[in-house]
Amino acid sequence: MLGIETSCDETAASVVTDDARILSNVIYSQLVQHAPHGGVVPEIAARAHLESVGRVVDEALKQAGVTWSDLSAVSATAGPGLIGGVMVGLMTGKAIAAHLDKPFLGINHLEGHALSPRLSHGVEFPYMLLLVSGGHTQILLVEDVGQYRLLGTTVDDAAGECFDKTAKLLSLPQPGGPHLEKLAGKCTDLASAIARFDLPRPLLGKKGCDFSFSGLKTAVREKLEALTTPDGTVKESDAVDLAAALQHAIAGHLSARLKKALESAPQKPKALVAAGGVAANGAVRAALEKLASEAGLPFMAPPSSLCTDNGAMIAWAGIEHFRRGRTDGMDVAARPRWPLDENRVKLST
Amino acid sequence: MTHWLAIDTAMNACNVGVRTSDGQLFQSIAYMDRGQSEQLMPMVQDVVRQAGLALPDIGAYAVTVGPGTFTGLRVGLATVRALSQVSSKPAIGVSTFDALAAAVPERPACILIETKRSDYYVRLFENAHLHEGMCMSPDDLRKYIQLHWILAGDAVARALDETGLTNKTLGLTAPKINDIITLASADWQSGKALPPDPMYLRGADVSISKRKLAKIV
Repeated sequence: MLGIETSCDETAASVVTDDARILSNVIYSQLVQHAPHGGVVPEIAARAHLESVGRVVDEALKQAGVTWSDLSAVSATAGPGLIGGVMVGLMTGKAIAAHLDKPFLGINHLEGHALSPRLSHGVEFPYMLLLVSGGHTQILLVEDVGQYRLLGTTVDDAAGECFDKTAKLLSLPQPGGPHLEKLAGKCTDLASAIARFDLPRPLLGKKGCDFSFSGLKTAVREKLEALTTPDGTVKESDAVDLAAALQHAIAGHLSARLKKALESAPQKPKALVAAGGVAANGAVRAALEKLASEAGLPFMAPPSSLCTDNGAMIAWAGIEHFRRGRTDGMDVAARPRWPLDENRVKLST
Repeated sequence: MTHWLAIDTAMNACNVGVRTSDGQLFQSIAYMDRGQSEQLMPMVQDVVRQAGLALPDIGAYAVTVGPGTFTGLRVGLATVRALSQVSSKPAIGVSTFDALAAAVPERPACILIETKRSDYYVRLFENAHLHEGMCMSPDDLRKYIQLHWILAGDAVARALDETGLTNKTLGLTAPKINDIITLASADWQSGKALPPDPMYLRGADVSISKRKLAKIV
């Protein structure tokens, strides 16, 4: 299966076999194009996807050591995401499949993330999933392919956005999450950093499993402004403490809400799984591991090459659907919004 | 001779056609503001089938590269580039200006293409001179256009309305498939073919954030 992903700022393609072997996983990042603007610019992203998707697909086939005729089917992200970019990958996938006269599948990008733990770890259904990235923060009970029970989502910003925006305020390179983590890693006394800034604990004591990150983001910005001198500089030790306190607060919020989800789950999951870019953060992972072990569940997170946007997860989601007999017509639409739970069929109990 | 497949999604349509090696033309056009990414591939498959062919029988591809709507351009270009890549057959880009001008019988002809904003994509065709395409405001357009030019393109009605000009016009909502293939084929034979790269004629709209950033020292 060839998988193509172009929904944000990474042009990616991958070849995966139905026994979960990743033959290639090529990712071309547009970081350089977006860097001057401090964030992803949709029109720049769409232009860059068109420019590179052909080369990325070629490279994916070459690294996999396969030719066009070896492909059994083609999958491409059909949404949700930046629509201009999604269309580039979608049309590329459709054209390849049509020419080869092979089946085509338009894949939900979120489903790619949601099913990626089955590609990396062979996790069995049902499992509790924290999908946490720059664009999404959701808790899902993954019951089967196409069966996602949404238990919680963010009411404002995504967790990754909170990381990235704070990093941006500190003039760190984008995407800021990993750089902020590096900065926080220099903190020698986490307990006093936490006490010093006393960041809010969002939705503490509130019912449900939803998230909120905008208050935390604003609080950090205000603390940072207070630490910044009139000439626009901040001492490294202050920045380190603030980064560590923020990382601790985000990890704590994620794990607190996930704990509620585990307590209220309609059926007991077989594992706790984290996917998406923020799942690569060490502090987040540590908090979730602790939570899982308290709940007596194994914890798994795909390796970071499968956590950030990639083509392998799109190919794999395509394989999961294809095995169940689904293929799509050539008229599949690109969708800017596509909630994972919209086609959820009530399973008989 | 070869079987040509042409795709034009630069303006508000899915415009698809096949010209077979014996010169027969099969075509299909559907006008739409959106939904090109849904309708294009089924239309391509239909037209190819009507021509009694399968996609691998196509020997060359022609595609309009713009100017036009950014998203529309990319739908057509992504499709043709991928078809060309998987088949190892040539893909030739054709300027939307050239393709429209080919359908206008007289010169000077000024092609006006809709930008979906206040301005216009403009290019003048004269027999004696080669002019560049450009992006022009209604004010500049009023000063630029001379009365003896024929105006053609999908922005003609708006231009007359906004500028008060009274030129002779030819409303053209999309290029003709046969013109696209004829131009592509001639360019290909003369070695002057454009690659299937987008001609946006306008940069991406970008605003730079003004929030003050702190520097770690």
